Amino acid sequence: MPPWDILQIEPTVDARAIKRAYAKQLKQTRPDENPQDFQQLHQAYKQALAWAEQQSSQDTPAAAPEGWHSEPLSLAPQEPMETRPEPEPEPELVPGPAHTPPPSHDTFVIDPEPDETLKQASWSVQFAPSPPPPIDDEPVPLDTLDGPVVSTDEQDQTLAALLAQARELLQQPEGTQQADRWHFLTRTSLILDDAFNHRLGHALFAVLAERQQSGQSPLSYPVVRYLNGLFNWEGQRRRLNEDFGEDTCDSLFRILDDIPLNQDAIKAVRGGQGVFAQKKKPPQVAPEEVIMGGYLLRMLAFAMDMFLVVVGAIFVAEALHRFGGSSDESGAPLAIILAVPLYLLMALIMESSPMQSTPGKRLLGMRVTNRRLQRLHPLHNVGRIIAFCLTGILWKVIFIVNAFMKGHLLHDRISRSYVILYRKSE
Amino acid sequence: MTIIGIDLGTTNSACGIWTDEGVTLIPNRLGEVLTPSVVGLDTQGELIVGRTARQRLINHSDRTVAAFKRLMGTDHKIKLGRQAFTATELSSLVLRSLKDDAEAYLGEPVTEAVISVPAYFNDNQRHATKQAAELAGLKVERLINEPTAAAIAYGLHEKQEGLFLILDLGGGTFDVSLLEFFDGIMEVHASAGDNFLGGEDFVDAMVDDVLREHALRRDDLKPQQLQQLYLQMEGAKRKLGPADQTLSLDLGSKTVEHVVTSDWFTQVSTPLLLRAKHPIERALRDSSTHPSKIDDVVLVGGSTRLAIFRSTVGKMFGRLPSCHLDQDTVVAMGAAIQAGLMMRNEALDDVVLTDVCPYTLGTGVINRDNSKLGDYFMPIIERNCVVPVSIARQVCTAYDDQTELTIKVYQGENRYVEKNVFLGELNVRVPKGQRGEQAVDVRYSYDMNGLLEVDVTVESTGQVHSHLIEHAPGSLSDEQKKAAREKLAALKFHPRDGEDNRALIARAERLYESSLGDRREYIADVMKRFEKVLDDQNPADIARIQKQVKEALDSLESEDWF
Repeated sequence: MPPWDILQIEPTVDARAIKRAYAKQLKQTRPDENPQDFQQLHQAYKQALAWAEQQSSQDTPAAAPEGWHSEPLSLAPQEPMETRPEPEPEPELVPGPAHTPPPSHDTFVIDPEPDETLKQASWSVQFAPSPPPPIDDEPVPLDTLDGPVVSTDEQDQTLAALLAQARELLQQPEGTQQADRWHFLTRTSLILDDAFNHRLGHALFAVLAERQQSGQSPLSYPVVRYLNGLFNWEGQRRRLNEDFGEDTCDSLFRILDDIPLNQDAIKAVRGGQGVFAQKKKPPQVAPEEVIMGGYLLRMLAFAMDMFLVVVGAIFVAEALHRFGGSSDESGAPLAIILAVPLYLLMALIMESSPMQSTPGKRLLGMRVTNRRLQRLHPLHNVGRIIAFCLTGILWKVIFIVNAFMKGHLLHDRISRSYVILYRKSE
Repeated sequence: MTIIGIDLGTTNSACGIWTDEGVTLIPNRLGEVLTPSVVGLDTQGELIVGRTARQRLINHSDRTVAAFKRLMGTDHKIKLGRQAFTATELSSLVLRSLKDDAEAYLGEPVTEAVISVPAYFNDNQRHATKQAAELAGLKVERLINEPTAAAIAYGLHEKQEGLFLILDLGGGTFDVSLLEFFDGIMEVHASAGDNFLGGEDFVDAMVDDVLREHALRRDDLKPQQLQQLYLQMEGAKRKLGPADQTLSLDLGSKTVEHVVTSDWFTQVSTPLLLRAKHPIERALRDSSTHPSKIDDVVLVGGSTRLAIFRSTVGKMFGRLPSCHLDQDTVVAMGAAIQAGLMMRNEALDDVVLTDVCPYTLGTGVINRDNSKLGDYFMPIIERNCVVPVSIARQVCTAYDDQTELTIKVYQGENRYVEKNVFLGELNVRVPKGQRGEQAVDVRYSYDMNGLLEVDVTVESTGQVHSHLIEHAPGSLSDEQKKAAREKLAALKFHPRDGEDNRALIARAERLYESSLGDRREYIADVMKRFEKVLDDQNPADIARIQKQVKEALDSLESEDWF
């Protein structure tokens, strides 16, 4: 459906009319009551606005900024963003000489006696007319960064001095580990100046990138975090990637990612006798939801497995006997001795395999799982087998005790695993 | 049934209701609108919330806790006396206190509430807030974003149309929302924020700088001294002005004179101000809005009183920001209006609010390029998309004969899932097949509360799974909820009446601890007299002495902002 039908108006380039129509429809299609229709309506609204915007900018190419005066409510989708990389920005986007307030500000009511700081807001010019360079969307040509606004000698000197100090600091272990060593950067109020801040941030990043490549000891999290807070490197990541290579940037940003933000939250808590992480138990499936393989079934499975293993062992022993040919005894006693470790080996491998059971268990529809009903990790299964062996020493007692365990046999319990009837459990 | 609107803040909380005359803020048992979000236990194990607890933060810092909101949605516990509490439980105690106040004020039970949360709160934090309300016996009708709430209050108050940038610098969080008002519609275009930037951080920075100057670490001070230092710095922050303040600080091993100048404060807060710019830039960038299009910049939240913050914002936008409503209560007012909207109050019939989802939500997909870096993040709902929204994307099996798919839910902006916030997971069984043959539709639905629901439909069988395994940090299972409810129910508030006396005693105690010599004896004397009269239980005498004690304490400290 074309957006106009949903908005129930004729196609128009008048953004105000579109908004009015949208408002009218929205009162019947409330987002909380009718989410789907609301999404549709909202999309139609956005489409209509975008179309209107496009039409009016086609009619009068330069209309967008002025259009704002006649149409104070109009959004300017994409417009400012797209015009930014142009080599010749519109007049009011030029970062003007430091002390003239930008013309666009005339339209706003400024306090009759603007406070002193506001008047000298040389760098407010930076932000207001053109969103500052530290935005990651597209690279801003370097010449605008080093443009007229920041070219005073004093700023250059300060910058050089700060960089020299930073380099020196990086030679010391404290400098790479303690954020408070970097506080000197905020001693100059220039850092609040967008252009200066950006230049310094970029230059400092270059120093750190260089250091990172030389493979010296990594910077600590607090240091990188502090500096990132000052210079918003994360916000300009794309551009930094281009300038310094993705690998270098990643290696620096990874320091930031490593530490969870909880650290700050914990530090912020006031009072109390300390904060500690609560151990989260993995969600356990309550045994009621699954049916354990019962004792008799388990014994039967064990007997079947043993039979299989003994048969296998006899074959092996027979073979050894035949090829060894040393004595004329039968291989049977050897087979019995071999059967026990062979069974254990089989259980070890098969129970942690995708099959999750020995052949006997499999035949009887059983599967070995951990308490989250997932396949056992091989190491976990080693533990399980050891538990099985240990309980095996107390063989006779255990046999009796196990009979009362409702299928959750002792070695299952010790090794925190289940043997479940999976067909009935699902 | 009345729905109350609650602003559950890092530093202060407040609640209000919508009446036919507009918003009414509900006074607490001390007759104040703001209840500090501070929880404490007294020696009998009875519960103290609010101002009295705040006064006790120094003398009883081991049994009192503040600024716990930032731990919402984590598994951390805070030890108070012999018990340990999660942030969710502590928040529920604050909510219970507000609920009690509202019930006393309205004279009827209150069971439903609209609660405001920072716009940049993640899903875990939102769920934790909801659970806190449940534990306090409140059903959450709506979670509303704080800047949005402020915007509603502001919009209804000013009745002005246009594009507004709301900057909400509270005690612990900084939120930025870009809103448009027209024809009774309040449309949020974009939200951004920093969950670790607020008034408390400015105080933190001051404390850190003082300690650094004297080569001390936090651990070098006794808890009491540290809390005292915090309170002194906070007081200094509030009184910042052209005049320098000289404070006498007890730093354990020594007592030093510290001069708080606005230059010094500017210096320590510069990193924070620079950080505050990031979300502002992002909100504007996300909504492709040129700063010159903004009709007004509105400041919300107690910390926007800081002159330095105002002038920074002023410089950014080349104009003075406005704040016509009380910054501390405007969010609660907005929440109350939203509560009125939920009750479909006639006066608000013409108002519709649309909000956005401030984060990108997605799932993990296998990274075959470099498995070392972990799974790729596949966005499903992009940030700043208007809500409620429901979007489905298809994923398929990655291996031959795969029978199970694990859909992990993440929130964040990073390309790799491990750097985003994990919200939960869902296991789905699929019929065996060739790799890529079995596909499932993953549908994310993000509702007006900012809460996410995930449905997974197996294409071949049509089976729908929507049960999210809740092992997101901070979330409670039903069993845990029950246990928490029992634990909290065992905590009793002090009786409502007499709270003013207790607050006064707590204040006197705090002053006693921080004074020396004659001053100390004077306070002890005042307290002795006060306690004696309280024991006699004669209401007229109590009222009289209350006034006297208050005057006596006021004469000792110029301003009581606790």
